[in-house]
Amino acid sequence: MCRGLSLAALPPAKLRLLWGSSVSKACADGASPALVQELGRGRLQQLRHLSLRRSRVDERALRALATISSLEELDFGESTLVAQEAGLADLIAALPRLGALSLSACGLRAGDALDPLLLSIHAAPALRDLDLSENDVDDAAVSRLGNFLSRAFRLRLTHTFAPARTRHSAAPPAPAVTAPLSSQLPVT
Amino acid sequence: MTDETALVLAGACPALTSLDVSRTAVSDVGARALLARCRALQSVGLAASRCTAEAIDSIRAEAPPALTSVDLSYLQLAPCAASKAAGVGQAAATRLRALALEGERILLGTALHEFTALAVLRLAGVSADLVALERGLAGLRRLEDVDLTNAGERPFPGTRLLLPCPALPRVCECSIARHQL
Repeated sequence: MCRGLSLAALPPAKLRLLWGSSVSKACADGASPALVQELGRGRLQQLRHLSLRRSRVDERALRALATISSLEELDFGESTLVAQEAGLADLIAALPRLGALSLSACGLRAGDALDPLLLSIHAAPALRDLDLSENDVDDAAVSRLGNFLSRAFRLRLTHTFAPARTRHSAAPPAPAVTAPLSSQLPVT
Repeated sequence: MTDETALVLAGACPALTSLDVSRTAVSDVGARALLARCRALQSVGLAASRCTAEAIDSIRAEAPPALTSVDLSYLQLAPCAASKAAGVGQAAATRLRALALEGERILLGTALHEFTALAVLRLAGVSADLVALERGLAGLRRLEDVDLTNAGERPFPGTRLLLPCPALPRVCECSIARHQL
């Protein structure tokens, strides 16, 4: 659950009141591409955490996000990424402080199209936390990703599909969707 | 994701600190490789994977030294294996801070007493002897967050669960939905 400033319901005129502010955490779940572009225009240079869950994000929106170089955590969970892998790769390359990226249930597909994304993940200097759950990334893609992760890393691959020969006999789905257990540890 | 990929990850990513392969086709073979090779793991998720009691044996035998969080929910373990899951192994148990065994057929006994460092415990939907459950919980003095939703004896008897609240001084999150108190 996003606990930052919620932006998705704001009209653009109100949104612009934030520009130049010191907002460090924002939530724009369910945002349209236009709103995401507007965020980019705002040059919120102190914004570190941004949730864009269940949003629709196209290539122009990704380019706009790339201007917020202060971003450390970015959550695209359950979003429709129109630009797909190539645009994401460019975004990751443009965010030097990005430490955590969630791409869960974003419709990422197996195949060569993932390579630019995997390369950008490998090259991202600060990235330490990656969520690829619930995407159709196959074993080959995960294996290629593995070859890139030589540093300390948190990786979520839940509900990534098995190859066709085993898909029908895959493990039963868990009835409840909960946050990963490790994230529920109390802060000490 | 399958065991083949788990083996690749185990070989290529020894520095992984957290890995969640829940709801994938990873089985005991993959889990064993990951636990053996990824010695920096602090958290591992195997919920609803194809792991069996053998994976629990791997945790007993080869738990990475930093492991503090394990998710073994929905593994459809037999009662005896579920009891073993509740034990996990004394060496690992004493440092685990988070454990999930949701949906398992657990015969808890006193196994939970081993988890002296637990802060988070997820037991939603477990089938358990309530007296044993109460006794197990009573020993967990560091618990802060416990989920007992629909936990109880089967068939569901209109469950009575006497939470030993005085014995759980730090619990601030507790779900006991679907219980008749």
